[in-house]
Amino acid sequence: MFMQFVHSFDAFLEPTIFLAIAAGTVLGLIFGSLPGLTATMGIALLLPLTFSMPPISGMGMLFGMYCGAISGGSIPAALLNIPGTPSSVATTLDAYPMSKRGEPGRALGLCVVASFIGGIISVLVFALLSPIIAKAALEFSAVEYFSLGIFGLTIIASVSGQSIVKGLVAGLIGVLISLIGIDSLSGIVRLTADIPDLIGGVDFMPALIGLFALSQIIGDIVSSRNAKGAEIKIKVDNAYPRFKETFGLWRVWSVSSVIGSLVGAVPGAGGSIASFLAYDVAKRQSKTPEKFQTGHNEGIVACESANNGMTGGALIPMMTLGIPGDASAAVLMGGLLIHGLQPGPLLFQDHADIAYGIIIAFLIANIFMFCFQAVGIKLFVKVLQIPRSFLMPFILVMCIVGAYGISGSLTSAWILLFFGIFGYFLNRYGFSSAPVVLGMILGYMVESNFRRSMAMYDSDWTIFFSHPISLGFILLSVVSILLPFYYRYKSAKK
Amino acid sequence: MFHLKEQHVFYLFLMAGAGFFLKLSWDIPSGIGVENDPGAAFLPIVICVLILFLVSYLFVIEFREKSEKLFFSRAEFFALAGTLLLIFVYIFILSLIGFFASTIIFLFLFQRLNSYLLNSGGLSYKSYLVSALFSFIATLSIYFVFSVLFKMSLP
Repeated sequence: MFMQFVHSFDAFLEPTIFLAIAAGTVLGLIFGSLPGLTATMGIALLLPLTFSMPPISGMGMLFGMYCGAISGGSIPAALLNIPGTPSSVATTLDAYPMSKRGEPGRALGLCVVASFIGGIISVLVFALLSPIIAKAALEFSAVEYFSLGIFGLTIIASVSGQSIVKGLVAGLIGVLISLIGIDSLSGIVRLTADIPDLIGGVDFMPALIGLFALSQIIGDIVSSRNAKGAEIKIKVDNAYPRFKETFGLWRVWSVSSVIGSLVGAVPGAGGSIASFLAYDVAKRQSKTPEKFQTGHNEGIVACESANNGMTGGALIPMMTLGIPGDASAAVLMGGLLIHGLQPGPLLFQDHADIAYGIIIAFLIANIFMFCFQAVGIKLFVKVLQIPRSFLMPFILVMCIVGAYGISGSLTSAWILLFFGIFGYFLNRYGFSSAPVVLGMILGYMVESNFRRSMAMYDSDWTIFFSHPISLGFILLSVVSILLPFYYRYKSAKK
Repeated sequence: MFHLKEQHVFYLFLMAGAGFFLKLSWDIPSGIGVENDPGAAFLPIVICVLILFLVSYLFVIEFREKSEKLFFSRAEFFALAGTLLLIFVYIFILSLIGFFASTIIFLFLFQRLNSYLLNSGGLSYKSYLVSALFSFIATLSIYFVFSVLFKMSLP
């Protein structure tokens, strides 16, 4: 493993990789700073641009966007009490009160260092666990993959959106979409409604950009959210990294970063759960719990270490098992697919140089994220002043041109529009777009492995229960469906 | 007491879509492929039935739920219709008049629509000039990034 890591460094002799990662990180910080623009949306927008790049450069750029946006989300959270991304919701609890009492620079400085530490610990967890899990997953047969796919679908559907039923409906719609086109096992063309463009299946990339970027733009314009963005003027003094103060809180950031990484590795959990959990643990362990929610440095460090700690964790199931940990990981998975690389255990076996190169690119993205914020945090604060009436049209054209650019066909632009409108209505009525995309990714995995298992074991359904690992995943699926009901019952009882 | 809400229309669309795909799934030929393979129609049928069942459940449950009614306001409706119409026309004219002309026109009109919706910019001569300048510079920069820097094809 160590030698493979060393060999992967060869790819980094090419300076363009660093440029790509730096560009992705700066764009990520800008995206994260703008309320309403999420990391997922940013990655979806950048995807087409990585098409012509070598895989490590392309993924490095997307990782830069991912880390930058998650960290940049703390800027409006600290200064305006508006989380830039969903994972920085918990950051508002202490960073905003600290800013309000006249210390916005200190709040931002703590956010920068805590994000960096969380990011670096998550890289370590990602680098150490990924090869081990990938090696174990090599032993999986079609039976285990089917059960794993079902587990991925249930846990993701149950935690996304406002209701379990809506999450399941969205996930099932995604699975159905993934089945359109030629059936790879029998060669039959199915569910295309005689539309020739659908024979090869629904193009994944425009659907992705439509669901995560276009739908959000339409929603933003219709509700005219954050219309006063252009009027925001904030003076930030002393915004530099608070090393001494942060390192004094080593217990908080180490525990929170590990919590973030582990929670991130659970498919569907996401950064917002990670940061709230870390916040709760930090409060319980603190000697001064009464200071939390009044602008306490421990609260800020806990949330920011956890939400950046989550980034590496979320990549583990995506890279090793082909199961995206959250919506951003699903879009990042698209970054691998665009280069013909199938995420999963074979990635570490057949393309070890790329797999380890991607881990190194992730580390560099975190270092860049810290450097750019340490030097130019005041510039990123100014991003809050960009008028949305200029920003939205620009992003919209990027979506359409990007979708066209991947395939060179306007059919992609129409698919983008369809999924953009569909995603808008899903969001409007309390569904989430994430399970649709995850269903699209996992649908094929579930179906093909189910049918293979049936063919291999003479239609014996009990096979899924007699293989221990498969049974484990099925039990986890049942738990993941029942757990939200249990929590609801418990809270109703209170 | 029943409460009809805007989302019921969406649920009807979802049910119609699931019904349509169920019909398509039913028409998939069976008996082709490997022995013991449940067939290419098996999972699509199961999925469509599940979607129909779950959406029907949502339809009934929310029909009976007494919650705040969600309806498009007049302003929201015009914003949505205007946005979608402009995107539709843009994609349509992209292949007819090419990237440059269509993008400049689209960005100009869309920026004006956004300024109107966000109440920023006004109707002054200067604001129109700013919109025109923005459209031109934004089109050039998108062309530079996609076509020159990343060598991607544009319509």
